[in-house]
Amino acid sequence: MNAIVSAAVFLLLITALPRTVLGESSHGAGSEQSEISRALRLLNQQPKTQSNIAESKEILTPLAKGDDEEGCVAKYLLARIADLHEEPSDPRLAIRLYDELIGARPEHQLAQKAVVKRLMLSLYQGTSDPRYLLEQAEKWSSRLTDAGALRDYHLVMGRSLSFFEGDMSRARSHFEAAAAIGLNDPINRANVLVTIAELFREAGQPELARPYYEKFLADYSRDQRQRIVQERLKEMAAKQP
Amino acid sequence: MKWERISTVAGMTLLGGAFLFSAIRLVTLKLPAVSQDRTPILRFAHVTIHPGIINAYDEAMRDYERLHPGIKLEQVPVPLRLWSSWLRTQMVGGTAPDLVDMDRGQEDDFLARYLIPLDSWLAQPNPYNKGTDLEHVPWRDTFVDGISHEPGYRPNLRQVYGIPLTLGTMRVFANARLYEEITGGLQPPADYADFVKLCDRIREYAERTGRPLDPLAGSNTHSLPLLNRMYSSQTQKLAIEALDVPNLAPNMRDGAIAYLRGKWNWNSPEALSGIRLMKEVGNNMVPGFAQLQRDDSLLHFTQGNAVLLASGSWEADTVMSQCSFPLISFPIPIPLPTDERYGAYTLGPISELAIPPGNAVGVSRNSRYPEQAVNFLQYLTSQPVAQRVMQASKRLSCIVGVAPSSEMEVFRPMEYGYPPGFPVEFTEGFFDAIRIYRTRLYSLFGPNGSPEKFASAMERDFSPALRKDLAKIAKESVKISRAEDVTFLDVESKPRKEDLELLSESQTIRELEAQQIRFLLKTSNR
Repeated sequence: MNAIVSAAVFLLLITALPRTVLGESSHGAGSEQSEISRALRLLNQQPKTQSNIAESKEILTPLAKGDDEEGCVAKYLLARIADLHEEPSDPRLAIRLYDELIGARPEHQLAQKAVVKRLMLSLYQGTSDPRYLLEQAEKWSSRLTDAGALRDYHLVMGRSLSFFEGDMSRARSHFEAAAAIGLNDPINRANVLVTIAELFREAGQPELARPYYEKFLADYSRDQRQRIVQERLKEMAAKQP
Repeated sequence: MKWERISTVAGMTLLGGAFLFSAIRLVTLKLPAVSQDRTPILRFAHVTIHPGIINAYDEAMRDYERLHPGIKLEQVPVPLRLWSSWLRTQMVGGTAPDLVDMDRGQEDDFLARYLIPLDSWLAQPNPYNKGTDLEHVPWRDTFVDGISHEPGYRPNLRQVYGIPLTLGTMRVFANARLYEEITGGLQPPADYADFVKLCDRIREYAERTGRPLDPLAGSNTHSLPLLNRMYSSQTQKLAIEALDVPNLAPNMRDGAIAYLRGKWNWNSPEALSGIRLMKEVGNNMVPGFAQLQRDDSLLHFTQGNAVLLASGSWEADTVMSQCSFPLISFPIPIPLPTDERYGAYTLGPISELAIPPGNAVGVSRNSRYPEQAVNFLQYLTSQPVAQRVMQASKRLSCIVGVAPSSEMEVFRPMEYGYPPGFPVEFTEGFFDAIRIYRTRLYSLFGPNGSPEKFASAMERDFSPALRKDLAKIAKESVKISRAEDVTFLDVESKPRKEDLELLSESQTIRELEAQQIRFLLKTSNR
């Protein structure tokens, strides 16, 4: 029975994948946009094969020579192939390709995203000391003009400083900056609010912790941390002269 | 002889052919999206095929149709055994029902590919809560946990893919007749120490009367969640202290990361205390409970061979209807900070806001009427409708302010508590860790078992299993990112701007967490 169902499922899988994954592009055949769509389809086609990855690289490589919109998408995709599609992945190549995109069109939305991807790769898969890299990366915020990318950069910096047991006051500043830009993910936002408050409390600055605790209590009334946060506020109030 | 053989082969061929036809018919079944009178049909496929639940849903659907005469609703009950292959086939064939049960082991990349993220709707109030105290509350906050747990919320995808309908809390049922006979009253134990005394009295009674009686009925279904809850009371303080990012919300990934970073191990005082507590509670269960199944423990209890049964709201109706004796029930008495032996490492009662609501329903990307499908979910999870559906089906709603029926009152979630600590049984993708835990339980509860032997077995075998699970989780993240990139980069797909912004933030956090896992797998010597 399982074999029959599996066979039927497999047949359907290879014949009826959704149009966005396997279907034909509505753009003219041979246009740069349709070539990018074709490369994307090849990358996501199941079963995943080395020849599909190679073919998508062949499609993207000439497109990546230009610095127009399609060139930027192609550069970004080539970096993503090295980062996510190749097995094993090639982080050094991915970093180089992200850098090419950042160098060519630093203001492009994908180049802005690439700054954050590159930061993560160098911190966690690079050969340099992550704490030294975190110091260096403090300057990177000036490269980021896109609000979403800047928010993501601050999140990566804050969480990486915590992970590598770096300077927690710097971590807190990054979380504050991310929160000020605006967090879309409600779970992440709740975590960031509590984290900022906790870091202020641990640093002996309860007056700065309080508004974050209060914001959390007001915005996340159904969160399991309600009681512990209420107790933190009571403790702080009791310690006030 | 030869004729017999031919007839057997012919019979088997016919049977096989019929089976093949049925299987292909089932997997290729196409359901029309409009009725004969061209009215759009919304289909809701699920595996909860208990008649009480089907009837309760059916009533809600007919009421919805009366409110929206331009739409029809149908249930498509599918047996659990066929669910995964059936759903996949419907999805890839583009014939999936509009609403589908997404709480049956569906993996993240499947959900990302075939279901619609629901976050943008959740930020707005549920229109069907008009006139209730939830009228102006965002839909997300009308659920007891704010949909912050699996299965509805997917931590890897960092988005909500399912709207949960029910909540499952655990309580202890007691055979009131035996309970009164043994203790002289019906007063539930006031705390954990009192619970231990109760179990001692039951054993003394059994010995004195020669009656084969266990304090607690046990099986892997009923005992393991109870033991996990007991254990996680002992790691509450540890879990919060071990967090890299001090957000006061430890989860299983944090527990795994903290283990690889050497912040705890199975011989840590907190873990050992939790294991001792498990041993103490487990010793009151029928021997060999970990190998027994749900029906074994139910039978043991309903036949009066055990005084107590720790069970969930999801089967309360079954327990109540199968027992020929009166019942009392009470919350699981986990140790509190005042407990002399087990108070040192606990913060206090565990908030049941952390218990994930279940029976989550997602909206298919194939749906021709996604807005209407979401609208029906809003209707089903509105306070007044959830009240009616849950009363009729004797289950516990996960909607704020929906009161349980009088017999379910004891299952009402306890909201005012603390986050649980790290678990003894890692779930949510930690398949190898689960296997190691379950197979090493023998060194705790088997002959000559002891907390020290269990801790030592776990210390020896847990790390390789955990590493394997974490590597798989990191790999899964890569698969999800590949699928997400299609949404970001394919000019063919036209996602909403707010969905893209959420997706970008979620992808960053998930990729960061995967990088951290890979880093630790490379650098940790644990």
